[in-house]
Amino acid sequence: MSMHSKKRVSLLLIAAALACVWGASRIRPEAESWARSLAAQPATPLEDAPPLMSLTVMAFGGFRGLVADVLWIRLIDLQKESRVFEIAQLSDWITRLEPHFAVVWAYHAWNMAYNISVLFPDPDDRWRWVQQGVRLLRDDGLRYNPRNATLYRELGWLYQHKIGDVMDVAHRHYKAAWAREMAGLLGGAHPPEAADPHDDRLRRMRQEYKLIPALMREVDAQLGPLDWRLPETHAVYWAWRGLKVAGDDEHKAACEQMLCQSMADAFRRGCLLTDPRSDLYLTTLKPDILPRTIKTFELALRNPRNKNTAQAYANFLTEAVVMLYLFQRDRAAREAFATLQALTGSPMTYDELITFCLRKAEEELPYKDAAAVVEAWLYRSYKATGDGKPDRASLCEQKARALWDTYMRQRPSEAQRLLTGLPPFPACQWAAWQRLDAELKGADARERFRALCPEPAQAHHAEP
Amino acid sequence: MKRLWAIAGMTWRTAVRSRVLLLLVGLVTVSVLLLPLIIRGDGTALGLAQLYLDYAFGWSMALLSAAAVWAGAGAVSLEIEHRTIHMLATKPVRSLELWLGKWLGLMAVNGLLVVLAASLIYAGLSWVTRPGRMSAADRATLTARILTAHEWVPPVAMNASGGHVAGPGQTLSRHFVLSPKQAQATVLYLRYRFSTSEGMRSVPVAGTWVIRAIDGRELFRQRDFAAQFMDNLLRLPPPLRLGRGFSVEYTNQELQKPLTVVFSATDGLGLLAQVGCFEGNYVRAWLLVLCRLGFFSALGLTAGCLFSFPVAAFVSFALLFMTALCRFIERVAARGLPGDVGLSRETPLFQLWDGINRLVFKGLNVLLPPLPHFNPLDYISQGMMIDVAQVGQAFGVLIGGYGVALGLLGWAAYARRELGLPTE
Repeated sequence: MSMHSKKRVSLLLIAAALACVWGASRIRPEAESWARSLAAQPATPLEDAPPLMSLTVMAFGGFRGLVADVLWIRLIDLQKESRVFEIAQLSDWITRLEPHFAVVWAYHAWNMAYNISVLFPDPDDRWRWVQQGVRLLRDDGLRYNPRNATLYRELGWLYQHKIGDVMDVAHRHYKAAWAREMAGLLGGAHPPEAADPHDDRLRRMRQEYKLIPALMREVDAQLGPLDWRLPETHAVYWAWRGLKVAGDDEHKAACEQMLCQSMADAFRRGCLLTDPRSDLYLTTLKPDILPRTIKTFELALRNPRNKNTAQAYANFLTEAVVMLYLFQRDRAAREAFATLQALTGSPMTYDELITFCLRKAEEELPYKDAAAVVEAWLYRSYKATGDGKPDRASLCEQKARALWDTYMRQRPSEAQRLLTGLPPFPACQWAAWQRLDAELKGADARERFRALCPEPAQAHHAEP
Repeated sequence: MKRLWAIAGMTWRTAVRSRVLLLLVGLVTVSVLLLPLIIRGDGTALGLAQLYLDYAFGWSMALLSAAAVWAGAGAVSLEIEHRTIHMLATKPVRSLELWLGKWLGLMAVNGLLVVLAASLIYAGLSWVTRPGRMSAADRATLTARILTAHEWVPPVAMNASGGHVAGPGQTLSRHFVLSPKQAQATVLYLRYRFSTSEGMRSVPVAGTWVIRAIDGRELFRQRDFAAQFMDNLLRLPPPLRLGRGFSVEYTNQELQKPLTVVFSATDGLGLLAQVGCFEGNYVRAWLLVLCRLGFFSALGLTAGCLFSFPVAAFVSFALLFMTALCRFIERVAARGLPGDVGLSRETPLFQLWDGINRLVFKGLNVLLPPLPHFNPLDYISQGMMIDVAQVGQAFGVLIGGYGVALGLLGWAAYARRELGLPTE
């Protein structure tokens, strides 16, 4: 080929390339609209993304999905072989290749928190993987999808269910570790009031834990005050944030349901008792939170997507009536009962409901209420002692002991006790005593009570 | 011999002057140095070091393999294209000498790159695991678990009740015999992997391990909680004088809620004995890499003798890609293609389709070198021993077998290649 012909061919090729670029730019909007209609994620530039990530997303273009698939297959293979040291890295890459795909973030966070964590016998190792799942969603998933309510809800779920519930034999370890971490960060149970925005604690809250102090105070003002060392409170916080960005009723409903469940949990176990003299971690009933919990349910019921929440609300109210009755808060119990009747229109009277529920509880105590029921009978026992009724006090204590024994007998194995076992009986006694002591008004009354009924011995541990 | 070295020297000089080599050196350096900054381990210092070693080693190996194929494909074909081959062709050099000289030159370049990559990764690893970044306890664990050379010691016999199953309260016994070298090991782990009759159980399983001497004396006893599906490691205390023969007993302690423990038949129970140091193992791992690169260079070189550069590069990379799928090919050859092809398995059409596939994959399986067996990545990041025999075997198979076959093919192809054809 002569030099002249070579030049001509080169020019032709350049012209063809330019024509292709022009053609591609013409069809791009239409192609993107097809992609959107198929729920695929076009390679749109990321906001607030580090340069390396933006480059990766743009460089792979349409092949991102393919690369993510290959990495995903490797992840599954490694997981099958239990070679997990690479899983966090692969999850990180896969999610970064599909940064706007909420399901991918949710899956990988869930996989690490639920599937990988339970492969380890050591609670510390398990906790590390639960934290990996939380961090993936909180630090990265929400960073690239700040307006995706699903991800807020998924993050809240990890706090509410994985850490807050009793699905894992190491759940007490998670709860205690999280409480320690939060107590260290906040310097107590509530967000600090520091005015200096450069305060190191505030900086860590915002940057490390993505906790916005103003929002925390807003949550407290609307729904609390809540104990921020508890996972339920963080579930409430993330559901609250999700609700702020939720665009439609469906997404709102998901966050509202989480708010209701977490507030119900905060009522059941929103009061955290710790004792610096031992490693006690004990959560008990927080009756003061009931009006806010009721308000949360009622707000949720306004959303037509929350039809099933009515049943959950009724169940919760029933539980609340019985608990308040047991803790001798008769007025509050009757108010809750009135709300329940208004909701369900049930012909059952207050006394009939109490009798029915107590009989049922004697047959089988539900694990969510077991500690509170035992504590309530002990509370009654101490109150009777304080009132100078030793016979009644003894009867109530016997009742508490019998309930504790029956409940624990139904859980003979170590694993069952780790999951849903009760705190040691002395710890329940201590919790009941603390509650009553705190409720007494005036130094005289407290002194009289303490003289009649000294603080129970420190024979308590977090593990049953 | 002199001619051979002269050709090798020319190839070396061409490669050293080439921008591709410079780019490759840059890529390996940058990636090895950048890796510690971008990788995310499992949250432990141990996991991070393991991941760094795995990724840095694997990435360098992939880059060097691609470079070996590329350089091999261009070594002869580009010289033919640029007509510089005429300088050699007009001299009394035999085709085999040309092929071999080129291959030796390429191997010298491969050797240089391997030394560079190995040094960089070692330096990177030392930086990742430096005392300021890793606690003394983590470093000790890392040295005992990963930066070491363990040998897998399987049991030699089963007890009379046999099987790999321990029911509630039952005891499973295995007999072990250590080689003199293994018996000297200062670090010894019991490694076990099991599943349970409770499929998705997430609660750790309680069991007791007992080690007995041949005369029945109890040397070690420990109650242990372990997770199913995982490689569980139990470090045996150093002063334990096991001798060469002893038995290991496992008693299933899950009695309250009866549960059966099933040990994996292949690698369910065994010992890891530290028989060497990391540095020696690391060198052997890179020797395995060098053997693989020798094969890839031979592959590229022969393809370059047969085809023009673009075709040679394409063919070599296609074969390189296929070697990466060796395990899949082995699986299909043995079990057929996985997945649904829209046909019932009983239909004659499916049988035909499956038969053809198996035949093709069996052929490929026979033709392709057993590279997965010589993959240092399977060993080095797990702290497993690569012994000299394995390196020797890799050399014999990849260089002595496949390399020689490719060399003969390249020789024949080059001898018949027309070098003086006009291009325009």
